[in-house]
Amino acid sequence: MSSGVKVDPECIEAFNQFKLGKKDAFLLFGFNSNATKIIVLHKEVKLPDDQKKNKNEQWENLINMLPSNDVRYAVADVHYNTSEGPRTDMVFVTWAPETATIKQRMLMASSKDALKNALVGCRTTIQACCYPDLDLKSVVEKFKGTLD
Amino acid sequence: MSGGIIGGDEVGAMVIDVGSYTTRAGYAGEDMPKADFPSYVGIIEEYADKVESMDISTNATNGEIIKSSEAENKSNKKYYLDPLSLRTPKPHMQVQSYVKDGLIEDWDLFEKVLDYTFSKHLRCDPSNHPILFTEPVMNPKQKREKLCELIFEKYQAPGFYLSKNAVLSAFASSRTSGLVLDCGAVHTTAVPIHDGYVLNKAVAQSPLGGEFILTQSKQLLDEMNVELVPYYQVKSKETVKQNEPARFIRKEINDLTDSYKRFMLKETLLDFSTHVLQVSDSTYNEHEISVLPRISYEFPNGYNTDFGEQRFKIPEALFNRSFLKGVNQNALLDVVHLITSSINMCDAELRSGFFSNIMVVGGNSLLIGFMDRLNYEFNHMNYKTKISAPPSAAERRFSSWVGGSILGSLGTFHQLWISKQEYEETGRVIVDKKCV
Repeated sequence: MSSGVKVDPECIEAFNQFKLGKKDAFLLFGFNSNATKIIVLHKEVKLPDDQKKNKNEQWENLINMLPSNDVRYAVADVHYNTSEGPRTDMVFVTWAPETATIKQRMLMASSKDALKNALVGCRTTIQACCYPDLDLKSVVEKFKGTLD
Repeated sequence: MSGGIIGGDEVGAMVIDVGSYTTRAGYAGEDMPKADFPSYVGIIEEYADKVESMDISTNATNGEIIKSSEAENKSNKKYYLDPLSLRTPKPHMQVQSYVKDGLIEDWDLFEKVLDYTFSKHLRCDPSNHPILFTEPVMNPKQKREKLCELIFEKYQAPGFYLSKNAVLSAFASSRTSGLVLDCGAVHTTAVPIHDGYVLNKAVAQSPLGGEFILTQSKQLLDEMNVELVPYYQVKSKETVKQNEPARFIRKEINDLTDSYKRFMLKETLLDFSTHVLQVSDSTYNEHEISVLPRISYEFPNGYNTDFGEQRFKIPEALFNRSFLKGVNQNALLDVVHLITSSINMCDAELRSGFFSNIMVVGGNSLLIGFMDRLNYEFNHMNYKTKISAPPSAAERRFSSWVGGSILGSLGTFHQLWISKQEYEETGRVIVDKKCV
């Protein structure tokens, strides 16, 4: 079941850019004002490697940019370690805090499929309803990896 | 809220959610249903000898011949559909439900209810509004098609959509994957949902629902020798001290039918159980519970007494089968096992996701302490669990209606309706294609 909300072509373009891994640290998507399309709301520029204390530094920025009363979708890179060495993976985040209105949350949930299917290659989804859901440690567990 | 903007191309859809105990109806975009009425109808037949033909009709689901002959008899029947006149005692009035096991069973009766809903509750002409129905997860193909046909053929609606009630509940709490525990009147159902689709094979259902709690309450009151007198039989009563026999004058009404009496008895039991029963917040322990304050309850006839351990004993059966009385214990699943067995039927990869997204909806979950107990039970498991429920009581009872209401109000959703034209081109099978 879906809401029929369309994905703006701009989203797919931004995502393809993101996949190349050159410029962006993460992408934020949201609805346009009359909720007919999903659009790109923000592209966070990647810090150069030498300015970073650790690779996941910009994950905090992502969390800070999620509003406490509105819904968002996000795509970001997560860096983690496995027994076979360091890995990087993409995650798709759906953000719908309990404080958002039911209508927004419903819109988010029923339009998720449209966006997810448009973003080819993004396999792992995190359903976040509160900030602790996005704790990096539990996110990394999804990939069966560790942070250190 | 940006509601006005979202409803840019307003479709004015209607949303109807049929449940075992009540049916909810209203306009999409509103946050509460306009009407929430019992799924029961009072019927008086002019000729008492017609009773037999009615019994046949309730059992027949697809016998066309019986249907048509029954339709002729209809002219002699008088229907009482609004909650007030349904509860008023009338001689020879049968109280019947059009829902059986959560599914629409008596279509003729259901049509009458829809007629009434459109004309009295919603005051609109169904041919101007698309209609969104919710359906139970187990709804068979044949019933979905029949509903589709009814809406287009009889009501000439411009659009129709069916969606699973559990999915709507999940969406309303912003999750596309997770396990919905729907505590309804007749069933408690655990429905795993992945990416907006119900995993049909892993749905687990148990008849431990609201009705079950009522039967157990009845048994308890019988054991305590409390005579349960519904309000309609009480003409006047005097205040009596606690535990003293009731002093009241009984109103004698002749020729009441058994089905009416049963219905009213249930209503009385419902009042009793919402006020008195409570789920113990940890495993039932007679010693601990006996020190808790007792709750006093006054029955309709004025008799009042207080309840201690018994308050906890009845709902405990939802969590611990050894508290079940008079039924085969092995045949039923308690709430915790219902959830775990449903999740264990799913793919191993998905399981942890379900455990961390358990959503509780349905009226029966409003029993005091239900959520606390569920959290307690799952704290003992090895999984990381997170159990959530809509915050307000109304939202929890109406969660699937609210989900349908929002979906139906989205301007973009109108592309997804089955339109009248599509129905006319394809026929009723279209419902299986478009509403998955």
